[in-house]
Amino acid sequence: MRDVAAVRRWFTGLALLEQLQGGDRDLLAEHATWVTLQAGARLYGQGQPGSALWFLVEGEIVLGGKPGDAVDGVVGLAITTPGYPVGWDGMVWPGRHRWDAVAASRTLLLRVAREVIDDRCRADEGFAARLHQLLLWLAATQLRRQHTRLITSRYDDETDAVAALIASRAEELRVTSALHRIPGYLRSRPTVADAFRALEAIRDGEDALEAEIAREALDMLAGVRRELRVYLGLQRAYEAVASAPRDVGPAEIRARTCRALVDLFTQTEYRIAGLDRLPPTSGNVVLCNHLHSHPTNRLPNGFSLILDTHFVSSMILYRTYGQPPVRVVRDSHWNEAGHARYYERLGYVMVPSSEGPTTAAQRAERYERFVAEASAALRTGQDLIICPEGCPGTTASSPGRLRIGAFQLAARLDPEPMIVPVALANFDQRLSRAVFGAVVAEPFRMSDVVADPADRDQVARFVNDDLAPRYRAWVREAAALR
Amino acid sequence: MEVGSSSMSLVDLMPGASALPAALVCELDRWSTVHDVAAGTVLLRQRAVIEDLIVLVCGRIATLVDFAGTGDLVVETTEEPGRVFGWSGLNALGRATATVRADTDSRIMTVPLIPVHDGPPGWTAALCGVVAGALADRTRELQVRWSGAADAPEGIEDA
Repeated sequence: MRDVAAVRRWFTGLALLEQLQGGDRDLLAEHATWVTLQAGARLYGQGQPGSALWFLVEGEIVLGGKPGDAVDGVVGLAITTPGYPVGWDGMVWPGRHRWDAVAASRTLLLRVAREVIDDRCRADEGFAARLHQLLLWLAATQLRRQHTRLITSRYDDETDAVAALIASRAEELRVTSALHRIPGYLRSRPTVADAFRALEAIRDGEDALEAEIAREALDMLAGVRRELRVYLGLQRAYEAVASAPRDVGPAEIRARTCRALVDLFTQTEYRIAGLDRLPPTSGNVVLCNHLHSHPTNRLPNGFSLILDTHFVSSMILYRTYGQPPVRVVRDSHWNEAGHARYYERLGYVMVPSSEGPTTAAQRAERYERFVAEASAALRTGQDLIICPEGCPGTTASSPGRLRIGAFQLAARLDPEPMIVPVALANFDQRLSRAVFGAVVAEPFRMSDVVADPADRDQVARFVNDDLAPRYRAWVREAAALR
Repeated sequence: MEVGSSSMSLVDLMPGASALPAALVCELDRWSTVHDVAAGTVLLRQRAVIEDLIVLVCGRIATLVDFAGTGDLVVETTEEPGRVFGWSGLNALGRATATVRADTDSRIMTVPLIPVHDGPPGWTAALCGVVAGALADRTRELQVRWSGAADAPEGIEDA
């Protein structure tokens, strides 16, 4: 789009400029010059006189703040809509910019000098009126967006906020407007990506009102977009396991999963304390408190990829030792095809579910198999992750009752492994709002903390009276990490 | 209660009005009136057609937005003389996007837009430019207020 004819066609197609006439747009096209900004470059500064109008062609301009700052529409504002007249605030009284404008990525704009616009305004008062009505509309839209953000920031859920935004403008919209479908798309996780695609199409479409609402909605959904990226990462992590070629062994699949999860968690907010307390080598029993997965992370097949243990596997153990750990996982229930498809490929140590063996002999046989498999994993230098609660709970109530099986297991192994407690917090919250917290506590051996590790009562007293209260404190500490 | 035709000029009251064409200012001053309004008086109703600009002389004005079943929410209050409300009257749609209400007993100037609509297009351009600047300043002020109190937003409460 380097020639005037192409630029003219581009200006003609801009719904944002529908208040201008064809001749007005031609004037802009004829006098427009190209400006390319690299990421971080400043287009203009707060307080500078307005010297031009810039029309965004591609890229992103951030008004207020610096690139990388949170752009939440309340304090900072990101402009990504093609055709948006950047710098309008310098064209109105008193002719100075209110905000710094900085490119957040490589950005292409078309610049029309102020002198050109002022000359035409003097020569054609009709043009002046149309242009300044457009500038007033831009100013009012920005103020209105600010008001909307002040209100919607009260909503706990961005989806509710967007639904309310669309409902609040419903009487202005066509009954066939695609905007009416957006709340439905947003309420089902697998169709959230469709909601973004639809909103972006509406934003770039010909209906100025719909485009304005779509821009506001996209602004509100910044956190949801981040969640979507993580959700797509969860899907990829699941498929990396469940759809791995048959000739790939469990250890390689575990390593691939850990790498996929590291990529996934780097897109989240997390804090880890106490990494320096990890033993120098792997081959330890690693305890985790177990937290519910937020319902919005459930995959389309109903399977929830539990984030907490995956976080410990990938972000703590794999990144420290370069070796994927082995987890202790319950057998799949009869109706959990997704669970079975995922875990059968990973070579984890499986323990019976509530649907497991019914006779004492069968249970004893399964327990011995569990001990043998767990011992084998530890002997080969792999970490063994166990959630001693057995079932997940909330951060506020975590940990629940700690079962003593993991501790008895550690006590009877030779050589006796270190036990590394890891306290986790906030993995039960929505990704867009949570700061995941993890505290690695001081490792210990059972023989250091009870006189006779083979004595079930002594182990139970240690776990219930000594360890459990300290574990609760570590979880509080993890929840407070910021 | 209407006080009567204004002896006060828009230029003295509204930031940027001195940049307006002198003939426009004269015309607006001729048409404008100053009112005392009681606390609670609704000056503009969201979605209603707008025929006048409202300029705050003294007192406090709240801006409220009805947002899909949540009721009218206060999004902004101001005690700043010269604040202008009713910008929508200058644009084609011409309907208020928010409700504007006197929060305390206040004095306001009502500026009919008829002379602007009936006058030369340059008058519309000039007034739009000044009002747009005022709106940009309001947006900026809200952002500054929020950046300093992001965790404890003030000025937003159920009306």
